[in-house]
Amino acid sequence: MDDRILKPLGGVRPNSLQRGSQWEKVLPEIGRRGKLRNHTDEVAADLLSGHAIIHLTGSSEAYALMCYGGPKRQPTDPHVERTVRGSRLSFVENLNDNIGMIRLFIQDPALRIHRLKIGRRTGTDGAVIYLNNLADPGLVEEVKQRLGRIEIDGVLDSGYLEQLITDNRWSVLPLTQATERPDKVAAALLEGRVALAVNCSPNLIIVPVTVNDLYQSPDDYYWGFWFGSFLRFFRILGNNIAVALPGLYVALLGVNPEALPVTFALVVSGGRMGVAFPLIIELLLIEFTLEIFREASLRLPQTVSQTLGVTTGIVLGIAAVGAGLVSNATLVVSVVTAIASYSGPDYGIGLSWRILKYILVIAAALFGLVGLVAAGIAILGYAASQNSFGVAYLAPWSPIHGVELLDTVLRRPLWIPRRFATYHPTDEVRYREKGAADIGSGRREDE
Amino acid sequence: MTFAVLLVIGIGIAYLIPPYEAVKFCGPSGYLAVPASALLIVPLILLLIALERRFPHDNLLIAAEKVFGKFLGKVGNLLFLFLLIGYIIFGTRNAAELISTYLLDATPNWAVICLILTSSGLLAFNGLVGVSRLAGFIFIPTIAFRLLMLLVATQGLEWDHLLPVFSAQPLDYLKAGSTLVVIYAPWLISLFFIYPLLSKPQKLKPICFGLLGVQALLLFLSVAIMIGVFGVRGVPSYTWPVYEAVRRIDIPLLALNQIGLLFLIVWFTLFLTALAFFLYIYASSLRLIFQSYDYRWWLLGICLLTGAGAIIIPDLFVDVQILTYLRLYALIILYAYPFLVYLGALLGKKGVRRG
Repeated sequence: MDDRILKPLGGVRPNSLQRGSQWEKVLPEIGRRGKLRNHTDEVAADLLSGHAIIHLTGSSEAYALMCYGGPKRQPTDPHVERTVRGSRLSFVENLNDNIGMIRLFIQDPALRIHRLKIGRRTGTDGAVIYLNNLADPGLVEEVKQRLGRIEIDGVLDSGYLEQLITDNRWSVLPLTQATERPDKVAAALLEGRVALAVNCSPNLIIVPVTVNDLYQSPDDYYWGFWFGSFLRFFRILGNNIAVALPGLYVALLGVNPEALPVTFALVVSGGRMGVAFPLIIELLLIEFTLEIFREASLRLPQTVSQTLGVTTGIVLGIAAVGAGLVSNATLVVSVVTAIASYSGPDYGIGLSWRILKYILVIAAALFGLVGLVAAGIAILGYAASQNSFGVAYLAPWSPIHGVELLDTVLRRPLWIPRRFATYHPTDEVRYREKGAADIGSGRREDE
Repeated sequence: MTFAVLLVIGIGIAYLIPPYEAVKFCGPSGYLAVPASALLIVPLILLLIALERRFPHDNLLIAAEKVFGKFLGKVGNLLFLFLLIGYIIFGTRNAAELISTYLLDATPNWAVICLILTSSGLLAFNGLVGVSRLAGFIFIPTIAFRLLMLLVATQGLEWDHLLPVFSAQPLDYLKAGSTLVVIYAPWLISLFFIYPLLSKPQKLKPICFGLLGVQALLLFLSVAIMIGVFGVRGVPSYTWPVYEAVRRIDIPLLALNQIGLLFLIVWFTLFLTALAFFLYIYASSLRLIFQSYDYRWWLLGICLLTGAGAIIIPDLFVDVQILTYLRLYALIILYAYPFLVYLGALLGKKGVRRG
């Protein structure tokens, strides 16, 4: 602003600004960097969002130039979705910077940024990001329509949009995917999905989403097929443990011990001798304590949180066993569950399962294995009935998409030529081997 | 997808029905009653296909109203539904008895029935999409597990129990086969209700015969294994001989002590899904017949009716006796109403006429 607009206009008194004088010197720069405005409400909105307005007295037009620097944070390592391999970049609070980061990964003229303003009072800038010749036009239109229907006073984070555009606002399962990783967004765009970004939020929203997507980490694809598949398998196993282990423990030990090998049942049950509470109360006591610990550890100052967490964990665990409040076996089950709940890359789905886990535990306490199955089936049926922007939440498991099952428990080989049809991409070819003619020089030999 | 859903329903609801009559009429070769039962069901499949061709956009209930008129059609539909609801009432009670006997001996039946109906009711609450997707989701692992269990259940099988291969008169095989027809009823009845929803109606025939083939194979294996393991005298002494055959499996290194319990859990998963599908069919049918109230109110009503009916049955003996009668007369019930509707359509020249 200073260098390119004000300095060329230096020494000119505002009243003497006329067309044909110094105005002409800055006009090309304004035309290049500014937006032409014809209405006062547009001008007002620009002023509120940090633009400078250049208006010539008597003219019916004005130029708006962005001149708000504002506090900016440098991109850092992802906080939640960390990976061993791959980009260390994570989104920041500035919308334009975030779009720039996506452009780093996808330099395709088909990348479309549909900008919009959301929030009557906050006037938050937002963007719908997609690949024009890849994403299903119906999906893009649906996203725009849902966003267009939002009439709210303020949008302070992308989480607001997430809740307002979702297919089922009361769903306990995340029907959109939030991410802080630009490479994850780029990968989603390359599958024909659509991303949503808003200013002031370091998390972008990706739609549609299936439960399968929520177990995929970007570095699954950065490693080879076997490593990626190995990691993913244990991630899914970890998540299943996190959901089902406490319920299974209560069902097997509390109601149906006959299903366990006799020695094992005797040893574990013997370990509970002297515990003051019934099994279900004992387990819930530990689980609730761990939930409180988890929440408190987020608020603790970073310098003390780790030390305090480890110390209190050990001290409290030993003391609780010693005092007869809990048994060692229950403590082990709860801690394994707590650790396993972080094995998934998506925080949202982990949180959902943490809530649903309690339904399984209570059903298991009341009806043993039968209750566990009945509650599990009800939850699974609920998940099966959910849709995310017209896509079945349990796809490709149900409805079954044969080839796409390759990218579930195992990782899809990168050399599969066709793009999966789950998101109805308009360009189906993802990969092809170039023939010798395409390469031009035939087989290369090392010297 | 349709195939998967219907197979889950078929196996979930009827699979533990004991083949007492097959053994009673045919002796050691009771397993040959299974091909006979498959033959007996073929005309009904052909009837279904003919009805679909005559009324491609209307299910059995709407077709009945078109053929017999609004009033008579509604009465006929209600009677047909009443008989079918009886089927799930006794099925639910039977499942509750099985669960109580082997897994929850201290829990009263009414509590287990409430659990079953709550779980299935919640599934059905989300409509056909949720139930069919769930069935598609559990289809491969559960069916594979059941097949594996059946094969492992051959442990302790004595070939002498299965001989001679032809131990009865042809008419006896047909008699025994007619009592097994009920096992195909869940998916066949479902198809009479849902065939207009098929995206590719031309697939109705392969779906029906595919289901018949798979279920007949599973049933054949079950009956043969039961007779092979327990012998002709042993089978009738068990209330649930299929389950008992699996319960005998002994794999010492398995983490869970009793493989039978795992089998029961897998079956229970299938049963809940199948029951949810039936609850959906009844609730949506009643909604269709009366054109009033929301689907979910009808669903609640059906759940309460089923629950009350299942709780009222005094004991397992009565349940088994009534199920025996159901097995015997299921063929008549199954054939009669669709046949009457089709006959009425032919005589009254209703529906799409060809040629």
